[in-house]
Amino acid sequence: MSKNKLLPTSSLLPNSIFFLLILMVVPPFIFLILYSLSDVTIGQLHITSFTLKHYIKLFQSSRDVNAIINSLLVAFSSSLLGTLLALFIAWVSVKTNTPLVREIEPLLLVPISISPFLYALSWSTLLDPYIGLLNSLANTIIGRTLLSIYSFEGLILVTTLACMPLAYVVIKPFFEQFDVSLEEASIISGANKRITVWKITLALALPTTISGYFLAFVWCMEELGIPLILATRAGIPIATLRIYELTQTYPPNHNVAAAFAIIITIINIVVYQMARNIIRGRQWTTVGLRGFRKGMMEFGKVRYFFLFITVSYIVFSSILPLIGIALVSLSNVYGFPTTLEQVGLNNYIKLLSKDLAVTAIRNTLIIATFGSFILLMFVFLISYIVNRTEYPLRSLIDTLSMLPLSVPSIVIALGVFLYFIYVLPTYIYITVFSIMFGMLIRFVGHGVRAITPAINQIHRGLEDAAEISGASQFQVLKDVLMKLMIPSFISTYTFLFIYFVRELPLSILLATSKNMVWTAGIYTLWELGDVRLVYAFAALEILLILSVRYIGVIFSKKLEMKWRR
Amino acid sequence: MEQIIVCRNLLKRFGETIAVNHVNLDINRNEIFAIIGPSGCGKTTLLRCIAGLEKPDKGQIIIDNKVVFDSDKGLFLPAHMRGIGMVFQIFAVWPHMTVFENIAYPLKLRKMPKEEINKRVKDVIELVGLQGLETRYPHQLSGGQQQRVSLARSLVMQPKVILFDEPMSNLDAKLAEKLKIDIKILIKKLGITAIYVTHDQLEALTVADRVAVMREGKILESGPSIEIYTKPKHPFTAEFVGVSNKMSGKVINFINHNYVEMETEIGKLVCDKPYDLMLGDRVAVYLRANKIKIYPYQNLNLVKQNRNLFEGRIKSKSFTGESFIYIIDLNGVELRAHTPPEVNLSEDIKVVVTFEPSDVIILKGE
Repeated sequence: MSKNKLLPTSSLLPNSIFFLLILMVVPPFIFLILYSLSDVTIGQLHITSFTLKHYIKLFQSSRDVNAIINSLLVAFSSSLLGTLLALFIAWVSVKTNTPLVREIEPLLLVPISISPFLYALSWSTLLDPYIGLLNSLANTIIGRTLLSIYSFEGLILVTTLACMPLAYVVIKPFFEQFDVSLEEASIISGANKRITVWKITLALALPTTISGYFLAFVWCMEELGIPLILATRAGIPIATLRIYELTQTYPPNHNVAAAFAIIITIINIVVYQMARNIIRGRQWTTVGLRGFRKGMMEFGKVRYFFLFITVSYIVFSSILPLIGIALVSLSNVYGFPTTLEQVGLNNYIKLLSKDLAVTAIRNTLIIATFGSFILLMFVFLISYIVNRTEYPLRSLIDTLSMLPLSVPSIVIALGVFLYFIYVLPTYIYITVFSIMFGMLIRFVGHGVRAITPAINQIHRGLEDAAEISGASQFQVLKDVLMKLMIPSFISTYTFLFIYFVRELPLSILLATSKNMVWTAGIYTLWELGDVRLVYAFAALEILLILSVRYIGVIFSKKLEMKWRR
Repeated sequence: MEQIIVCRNLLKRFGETIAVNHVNLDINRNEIFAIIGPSGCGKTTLLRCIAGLEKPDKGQIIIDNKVVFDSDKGLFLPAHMRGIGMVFQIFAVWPHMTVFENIAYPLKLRKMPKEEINKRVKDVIELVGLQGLETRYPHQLSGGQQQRVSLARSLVMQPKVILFDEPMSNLDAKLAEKLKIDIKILIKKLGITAIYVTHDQLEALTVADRVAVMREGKILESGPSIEIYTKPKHPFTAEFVGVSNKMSGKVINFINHNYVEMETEIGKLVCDKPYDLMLGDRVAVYLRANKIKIYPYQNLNLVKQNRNLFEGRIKSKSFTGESFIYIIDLNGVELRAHTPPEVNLSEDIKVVVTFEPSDVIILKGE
């Protein structure tokens, strides 16, 4: 209801945050627009006139137009398939009495827990035309390979599996809030289970499913990691990939890249608005009544069929790729080990004797450890100012912090890249700091979005009570709010840490041999064709990500249990 | 009597809405002062302004002879420098601290020596009856115990003023009943001043020496609890405090200087003459439900000499455990009467309805 006053003397902090935020998030966009509308090139900032020729050039190039069409096609079909899968599995896991599903369901999130880039790499161990496990098995059994992952179909397959969890996390809560009385009323009215599922459960889930679909669509449109691995080899132009490629040609064409970035941003905004218009007014409430009852429908033998499908899906989408990359990375021969003697740590030993890998790992750990801590404190202050004070510019601060989050990752990465070339002196540009600063900009919105519910969940009265007890604003923050937020700090920190480790677009644009980072290092080795080291390097990163995530969850759960708010 | 809290012309807006509208308030030392009113009337905001958790837009607040807020001089002393205690509706007991740590926190902020803290905390824990629970975390306590922690935390710094913001509304009725009596005894024993905000008028009457009635940001009237109940000066008070039957009346006759006769929907009735009524004045007439007595019609003789006698019929009857609620049809007008459980009459019988002239509340205007 009411908010605390910041005394005039203490507006120094919010003012500095505000200006810092402006310095961080506004210039990347200004540089993008400048580049796309003028002939500015790296190293000079002398604008004589504005022109639309980069946009025109883009639309005259069939490769670039195809890239946009391909991106739309991949996004359309993958998000459709992914959403249907998500709808089915969310329904099975929440609304049916299928056994075991609730226990194994967290595994569904593996594809988004590791990064799409690493996920695509993992899949290449299964469906590589030469060494892919599934292809080799098929070759032995049916005499021919199944599918090359480096193809349009492969691209759609991996994108579908990777975007499914996104739709899933939207749809599942809807079913969880679904009052079972709605279904019981249908059964009482004389409908059988099948009709009830179609006409009541799924019909009511439609708006949520549509919003899950659009979320997945936008995500697929802006995804770079999957096409980087799969489409590059297949020679398929994809929009995000083209932006990256245009910065890597000689000479690089940053102007067309910027125009491209602005076009896919516009496409995403248009899709987003369309989604809002479609969904508006269709979101009906099924909760909020007293006596709300959770519940599921009882199914007979068919529930084992549901279980079979769900388990198969989890094995196929989450477990197989992890097994694939683990086996390949542990193989002392090229491809999969066939005997126990062929299993060993050779790849890892060789990897860790390489300067590139050691530098990349060290740099990444530095950036992720300190960078995500700095960002955590920064987003906490932002969220505190926005939600707990009456600082007059607080809603502007909120909007600014969300800006980098609202555009495709390659777009903000390109903007930051162009910005840093101008403002960072070379002796900083080639250090870990440039990448760390870049990530602070890229993830500020992610951080604010993660920490805000945690602040709002803490009742203001707890802070009022401390203030009444004689605590100054700083003491209230230190003794009450920040202490109570420790579990959220831990989970947000691990979440940011993982984001920093797996970050791709910015890393591959900014990293040089001096400030090489993990993910960019994997990609460098991949481009060099050093496949065995690539998989060892990627497997190590997956291991790091999954263990940090696990430790973070355990840790914050433990504290939360102790206080049980 | 000496005043410890004074509010002058206090104004607090939230955007367009005026939560506290030019309020003046004088609270005497060592009294328990309740502020009641429907939700959204501004009572909690007023309390938070006094606490320093809210900064008013205009006016002046003086606590214990010290100006803590003055809009003209641009003076605002924040909550943590006012040294008053406060008990919250949501308890606001810190979940990450034990009972002991919660209560000791205000003393730690004041950098008291450890032995002094231990002693004071121990004393106050005994005072509120939380012995043996020192090392518990709040989630291991009941709601009532949590509110006692909150109370102990407010008392431990030995404030001269303690504020209560709807302290019972998250407790079940039984617990609340006991706690509010305990609070009253404790406050009186310690000789401190308390402001007690609640929407529950019975709670206010139970706890407070004086009560103020608030509506739409304004204090309508204030006075000793008994007067607020028996002699309300504002129609809203008459309706908000206690259960009343409302009628409109017109003065038709004066009976020997002491009584006035009134024409109402239920017929002519007689009541004590208040202040300055004139013949023909139109007034609002309130009759407390628990002041109405009903008798079976055959007992008419017993009450024949009473001034106000009406014939009616019992329309419905409900038992609440502590009393009967009768709805009586009186010449087509429904009257609500609360009687002790001994007055157990059957529905649909003819009854005599009577009440004392002194129990009729008359307020000017309809």
